[in-house]
Parts: sequence; C-alpha cells; structure tokens
Amino acid sequence: MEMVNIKINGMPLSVPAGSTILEAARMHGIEIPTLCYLREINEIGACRICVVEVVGMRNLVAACVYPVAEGMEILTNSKRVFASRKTNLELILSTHNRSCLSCVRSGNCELQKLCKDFRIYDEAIYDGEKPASNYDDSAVHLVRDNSKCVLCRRCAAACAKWQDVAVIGPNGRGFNTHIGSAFDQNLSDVACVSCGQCIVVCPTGALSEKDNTKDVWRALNDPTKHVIVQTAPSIRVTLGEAFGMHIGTNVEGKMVAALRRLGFDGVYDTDFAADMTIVEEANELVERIKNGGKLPMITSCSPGWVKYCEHYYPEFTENLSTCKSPQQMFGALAKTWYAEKTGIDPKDIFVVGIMPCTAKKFETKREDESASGYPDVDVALTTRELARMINRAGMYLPKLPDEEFDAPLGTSTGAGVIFGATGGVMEAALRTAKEWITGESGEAVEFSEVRGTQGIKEATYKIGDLELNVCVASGLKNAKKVLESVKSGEKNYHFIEIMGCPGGCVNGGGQPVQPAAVRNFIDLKARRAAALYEDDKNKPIRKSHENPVVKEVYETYLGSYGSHKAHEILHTSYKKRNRF
Amino acid sequence: MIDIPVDYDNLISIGSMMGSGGLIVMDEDTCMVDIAKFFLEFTVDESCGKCTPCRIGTKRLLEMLDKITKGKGTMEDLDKMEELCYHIKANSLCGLGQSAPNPVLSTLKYFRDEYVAHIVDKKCPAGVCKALLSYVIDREKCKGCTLCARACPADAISGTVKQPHVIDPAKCLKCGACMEKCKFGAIYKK
Ligand code: SF4
Ligand code: SF4
Ligand code: SF4
Ligand code: SF4
Ligand code: SF4
Ligand code: SF4
Ligand code: FES
Repeated sequence: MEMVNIKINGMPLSVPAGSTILEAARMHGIEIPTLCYLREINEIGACRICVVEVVGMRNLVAACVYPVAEGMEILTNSKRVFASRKTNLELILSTHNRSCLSCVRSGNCELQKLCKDFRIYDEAIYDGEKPASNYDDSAVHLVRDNSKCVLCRRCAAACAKWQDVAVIGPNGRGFNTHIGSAFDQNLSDVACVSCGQCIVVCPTGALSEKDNTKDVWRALNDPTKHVIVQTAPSIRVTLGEAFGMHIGTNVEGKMVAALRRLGFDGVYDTDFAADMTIVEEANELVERIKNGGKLPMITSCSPGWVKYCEHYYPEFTENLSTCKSPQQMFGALAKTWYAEKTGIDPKDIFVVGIMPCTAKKFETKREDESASGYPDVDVALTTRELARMINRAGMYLPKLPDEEFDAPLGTSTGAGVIFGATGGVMEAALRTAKEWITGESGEAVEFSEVRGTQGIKEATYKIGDLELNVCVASGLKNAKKVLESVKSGEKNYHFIEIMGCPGGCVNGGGQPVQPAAVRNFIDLKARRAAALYEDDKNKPIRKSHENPVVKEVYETYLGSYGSHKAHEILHTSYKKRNRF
Repeated sequence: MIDIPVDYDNLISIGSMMGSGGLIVMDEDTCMVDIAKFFLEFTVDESCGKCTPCRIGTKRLLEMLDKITKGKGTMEDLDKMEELCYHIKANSLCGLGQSAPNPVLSTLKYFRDEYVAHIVDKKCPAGVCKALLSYVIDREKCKGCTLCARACPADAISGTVKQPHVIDPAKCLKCGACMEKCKFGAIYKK
C-alpha cells in the first residue's frame, strides 16, 4: 500500500495514500467528531462538525471527505477548530427544537453528545427565525419531526443507497431545506417499505418508530386480557446494547426475566413460529418443485421486503411464499391452537411481538392476517420500545437473572434462532428440505455458503437428484439486483431468501441505535449475527421439523404440512401496491 | 470607495462581485448597511442548503443586518456579526458560502461608521433605512397649503389652512408622498 507522511497535531505519522483525514487520524487513535458522515453512503461534507485545520490553508476542511497528501500538517484540536465546531453546533441549535427532556433520543443522541462535549453554554446564541417544520405521523411505523432534524441527510442516503427506494430526501433549498417525500406528500402516501433503516441512522430524535408501548401497558393493566409476548430471533442478541452491554451479547435469559416481570401472562419465542415457518415453507418449496409451481420461490418473512415486492416488483408476488411470517404465524396459532388448548377466548388474547423491525408494525395491519377472526398480532414493538418499557419499570437488564421461555410456544430449535441473520432462513430451510428429500436424517448440517454479511450470496446444493440453486440477498438494493437477474433470465434459482434490511433482522430498523461513531467502524450486523450462530451451535435440536411442539401442532391440530387447515391459519396473500 | 477604479481586482478587494454583470452605483444616498443586506438576501436565496454555515449562518447574518437597519442592533452584535462572517468564510463547503459574507466584511471595513451610526445614534446617514428616519415639517417654511395633508395616505398630517402643519410620527408610513408634493421644500427627512 502506498503510504504518505503527514503530521497530526505535530505527531509524524505514516498513513495510506488516498485515505481521508478522518480515516488517517482514526488509524492512529485520534478521534474526530462527525455528524453527517456515514461511511460509504453519506460522505458529503455537509455538517462541518468534523472540520480541521490544514497548515497553510486559509479555510478549514472537512476531515470526513478531505484526502491526506504527502507533507500535510493537520491540527484536529486547535483553538480555531474547537471554535468552528462549536459555532457550527450553535448554528444548528438555532434551528433546533431543543426539547431533550421529552425527546425519545435523549441520552443516545449524537447532537446532544456533541453539545455536551463542546460545552455549549448558550444554546440560543444564534436564535432567529426557525425553518418551517413538519411533523409527519401519517405512517403506521414511524414519525418524522423535522424540528429536530439537523439535515445530515443520513436517512435519505440509507433509503436511496441501501434500499434503493429513495422515498425521502431534501426538499426545498437554502434555509428552507427540509427532509420530506416528493411534493411533500405524507410518508403514508408514498411507496415507503417501512423498513426503518432511516431511523437507525438518524443521529437525532427527528426520526423514531411510532411508539406503541402505551397500547401494551394498557393491555397489561386490563384484567380481562390474556397478554402474551413473543420475541423475534434477533432481539436476544441486540437488547443488551440498549443497556450498555457489548454488541453481540446474548441476553435471552435476562430478556425473558424482564418480560415476565413486566407482567406478561406468557413469555414465548418467535423462534417457535420460525420453526413452523420453516416446515410450512420447506413443504411449499418441495411441492412447487415437484408440481411445477412458480419458481423461484422467495421467502416472505420480511415485511419490509414483501412491501417492496408489492410496490416495486408486483410481477414477483406469485413467487413469494404464501407462508405468513413467523410473527404472524405465532399470533395465528396463539389465537387458534393455543386458545383451544388453554380454553381462552381468542378475543381476550392480546399478542405482542417484540421485533427488530418497524415494518412489523405495518405487517400487523395487513389484510389476510387474522386467522381467528381477530388480528393475529395486536401490537408489534421494536427492541427499542421494549428497552424503554424495561427502563420505565425500573429494571436494569444486566442484573436480572436468566430465566427460560414458557411452554408451549417458547420451544424452539437452532434453526429458528438463525432466522435473525441474512442466510438464516435459507439454512434452516435447507436443513429440513434436505432431510425430507433425501430421507436421511443426519447431524445438523451447516450451510456455510449462505452465511456471512455479503449482500448477495449464491450456492448450488446437490440434494438427492436435485441440483438446488439458491440465492440469499439482504438490503433492497441487493434484492433488486437479484430480481433483475432472474427477470432477464440470467439466473435460474429455485429458492431465494430476501431480507429487507442489510444483513437481515440483526440490523433491522427497530434495533437499538448505535451512533455513527460506532457504526462507521464496527460491522454491527456481523457481530450480532455471530451471537445467533453461536446460540444455534449450542442448541440440542437444530432442525425445525424436530421441534416437539411443531410436531404436536401438526399431529393434534393442523394435520399434515400444507394441509387445508394449515393454509387457512398459516398462509396469506399479497397484492399489488402503487409505486407513486 | 467612490474613487476606486472599477476593475475586477479592485472590486474583489473591496468584496464586491462583478460576475453578475450588474454594477451598483453608489453615492452618499446609498446606505452601506442596506447594500450589505441586499447582497446577503441574494446569497441567502442562492444557498443550496447543504452545509450548516451557509444554510443557517447566512440567514443569521441577514437577520443581524436587518436588526441593525431597524435600529435595534448593539455594538456586541457588530462583533458577533463580524465573527460569524469569518466563520462562514472558513467553514462553508463551496465558494458561494465562502464568499457570501464578503459584502458585510468589506462594508464593515470601509464604512464601519455607518454601522455605528445605525446602532449608536439610531440614524441612517443616507436616509434609506425607513425605521430610522422620520419626516418632519419645517414650521418656518410651511405655508399651510394643505397639499401634503391631502397626499398623505395615512392621514398622518394635521393642521389648519395657512397654519404650519405637523406630521404624527405614530401614524406616518414613511412613504415620502408629502415631501414630493410640497412646493416649498418644507418637508425633510431626519
Ligand atoms: S434530538 Fe437530541 S438534542 Fe434534539 S431534543 Fe432530542 S435529544 Fe435533545
Ligand atoms: S422506512 Fe425504509 S423505505 Fe421508508 S423512508 Fe425509511 S428507509 Fe426509506
Ligand atoms: S431526519 Fe435525521 S437522518 Fe434525516 S436528515 Fe434529519 S437528522 Fe439527518
Ligand atoms: S429484514 Fe427483518 S428487520 Fe428488516 S424489514 Fe425484514 S423482518 Fe424487518
Ligand atoms: S456553501 Fe455551498 S454547499 Fe454550503 S449551503 Fe452554501 S451553496 Fe450549499
Ligand atoms: S411620509 Fe407619507 S405617511 Fe408620512 S406624513 Fe408624509 S405622506 Fe403622510
Ligand atoms: S462534514 Fe464531516 S461529518 Fe459532516
């Protein structure tokens, strides 16, 4: 690698040519604060918080975009640098709705931290007219409060560059610039897929999930309701972050303890429903292959992806597996099989999902998702909302004991656990499909080709006589590439797994927000996923069809895989949605 | 400034802009604070809104200038404004923001006394800044012809025929119609 010699704060350093000042400084342990910078997707030099002095230059430069050069002398901590950053912050504050006390991001807000670090004495020093601001709570999954927006444009970058959806961006110009959709339409009126990726990259409280915690508190306080909760596979490896624990810590037992103490009547695991999904979906795949059904079959457990498909690629809705997502299968079975088994009227069962995802809020409201006649799932909360409830109830997660999920809906396998990472559904399905097709039951097989955080993965597996071509994509930009390659005939897959969020649910839009300072330099999705694969490795049962409760449900209630009853309860339908 | 030959370098040195092809002719009836404001309005309109110093900073500069032209500025504002100018120049992303404060800085440099007059004496020496001027009728010169009173859209002038008239500053809109009408030069701005 070609190196150049520079000085930072007087220290002679050798750094790779072509790196930015920010990267070069970081390599040598010198942190430069940033606000708008998001590695690879938002390198626009807009906020000017990262400004540094380059000796000999009249103006300051933005470290996040300015490249180093031989002999360059950089000052990252001079008086002039501090004063400039501080003034930039003060200018931002002059347009900001400074209401930290009631703000959802207080304590985890990048703007708040910068203000603290730079010791802003007078937050009103540049006060003047405020830009007209808009509060958009039209969508079911998120709220945008432009009065707290710093116009870093990170949200727009995530929406356009990761998701290839670009339904939000800067509107207007100059002082009146604001984030919105085309023609300032409401978010509910545009083809937003509800993924929430914009929320997890937002440095401030301008974007947040629509908070449904009060609906859950209300149900918990209602003695006529039997309130049960399910936790999605990925929550156990992300919830700890909201309590300052290391990224990739598995807190399953403590999470269960917390939920029990919150007063849920049953603490269950979406992993159980993930196992249900696998057997139903593997069966569907085998049937489609045998009977000349529509191929490739594409997974349908990610509502962000499903909504994308309906808006942007309606020609592929027939390829979507008709299986409901694990969240919805759980709710459907809770209000049918479980209701019968426990003798509780489904109208009194209140199902809460703890999800990595804001699209899951949308999913609860979809049509054809009410097997019992009541909505399968009543409320979907994000990991962040659960953390908020735990905090409110005065519990400190790291100090809670480890407890076990309740029976029967808490019994799961390693295959269910890995659903939370990109490639996990594929691997889980392959474990089951392979056994069914070959009729051989072996040790749980690991399909390493479909693991890993790459956006698109492909593999061909020889299963019996069949050469099964599979593909795994995460992030909608990658989904688009895969769909285009299928459309053009370039690729011939049997089975495709698509997750709406890059890296899958471990990196979902409802997960704890990590600031850009962490996000830019640590692969969140890889760390969180590693904890899921570790969990899978240690599970006594690693194949979905071996889950004893799954077996019981089929034997005593549904009959066979893909039975008429299974279809009524566990399958759904899709529709074309407008793009504009 | 009036004696500076109009060539590109000279205008750059005093912070003006020639790129637009227009040239603004200034004389003692030109208020330099107002001119700076005029330029700033232009850049505030042109700012693309991407970077913080230009998007918000130029707007704040404009507000500060506006405050001064209304006679509400303080000497501290002047320092704060100058500092903000240097900040915007050094921190903006592109040439627009980097040069936006130039008209303010150059007028501050060459015509600081005009700023001070607005702030300390609450006067606009060029008689441009409406908030700072008032129309007055000179009792000696007024013949009581009533022309001004009839021209006034605000009904701000009172007086009987052949007697000196007076303008009620609370009602006066500072439109100047009376001054134009008066044949005896009895009405003046101060
Ligand atoms: S966005 Fe940040 S700075 Fe603004 S009110 Fe919320 S916590 Fe405070
Ligand atoms: S939720 Fe997803 S699709 Fe909707 S605006 Fe945010 S990033 Fe874009
Ligand atoms: S909404 Fe958030 S991410 Fe988007 S520009 Fe505003 S502050 Fe940045
Ligand atoms: S990948 Fe997971 S978190 Fe993202 S939209 Fe799909 S289900 Fe939700
Ligand atoms: S300095 Fe340039 S980039 Fe920044 S807001 Fe002004 S016009 Fe846009
Ligand atoms: S300046 Fe206009 S408003 Fe004022 S007194 Fe004269 S005519 Fe009337
Ligand atoms: S300009 Fe570098 S972080 Fe915003």
